[in-house]
Amino acid sequence: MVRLIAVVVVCLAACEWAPTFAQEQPRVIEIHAKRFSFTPAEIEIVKGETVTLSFISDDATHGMSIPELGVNVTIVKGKATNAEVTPQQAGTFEGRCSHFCGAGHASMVFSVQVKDK
Amino acid sequence: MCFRVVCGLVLGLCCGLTACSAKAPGPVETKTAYWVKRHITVGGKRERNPIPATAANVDAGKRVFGYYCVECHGRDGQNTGVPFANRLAPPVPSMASAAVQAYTDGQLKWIIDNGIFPSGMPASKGTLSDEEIWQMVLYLRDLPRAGTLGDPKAYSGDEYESDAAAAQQGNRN
Repeated sequence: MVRLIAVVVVCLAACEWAPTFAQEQPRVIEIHAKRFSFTPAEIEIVKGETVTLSFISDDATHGMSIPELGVNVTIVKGKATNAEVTPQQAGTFEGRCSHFCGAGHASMVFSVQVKDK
Repeated sequence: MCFRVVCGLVLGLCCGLTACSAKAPGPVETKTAYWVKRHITVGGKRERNPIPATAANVDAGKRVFGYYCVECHGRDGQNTGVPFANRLAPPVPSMASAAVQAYTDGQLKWIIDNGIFPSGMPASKGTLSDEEIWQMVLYLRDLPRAGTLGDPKAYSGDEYESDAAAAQQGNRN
């Protein structure tokens, strides 16, 4: 009987915690890179929120550097490249393509708006 | 009559200029051109480089220089391995030369931004970001010894090698 109660308690506890675990999964924002822009070119995050930035190249190799958020990745065509960020400061953080990709390379800019809660 | 003569002279001058072969300018022409560029035509003289000269930034500048500058200037900025460097008119200058190093940081940035006429130097504004160009200026101030970085890949004779390798890989799959 005691065992049965213990099993029921464990099951109930698991059911209670499961949604909590699901909520803790970071939000994923998909960003496409294509000569010579990022889509979207601007995203918004709440301060302290953990977000996975998932970069996908639609043509050649690109890069993404957002120094103030510690992001510096090479985006190879054909696979998603992820970078997790948890901004601790509100503000606008500029990023740009960090892998030379042709004549419009300098125009590949990106912006992260971090808002206060 | 007068109009025809003027037209004839202009046409002749244009033909003469376009038909000029690529000959290296003499020392007087070279010195005059550098003086004019350094003191009159090249802007940005007072602009300061906002990027600190750390080893990481110099290295970043070297990487940026490798995007396409190496095709004319060589990896070392001293024309190593560039087969036509001495055959352009004017020839490609060594970035380590006293004449180039005499430009201020701001002038080097201006030259990379706007290019130089008349020469083969293209304008890179819009192709490279300001940060990348300033990093490159740091590299130009801290060049390696001539020849120590090897030749640019473009002159290896393997232009289509990666295409062939990719095609071979595709056939296997």
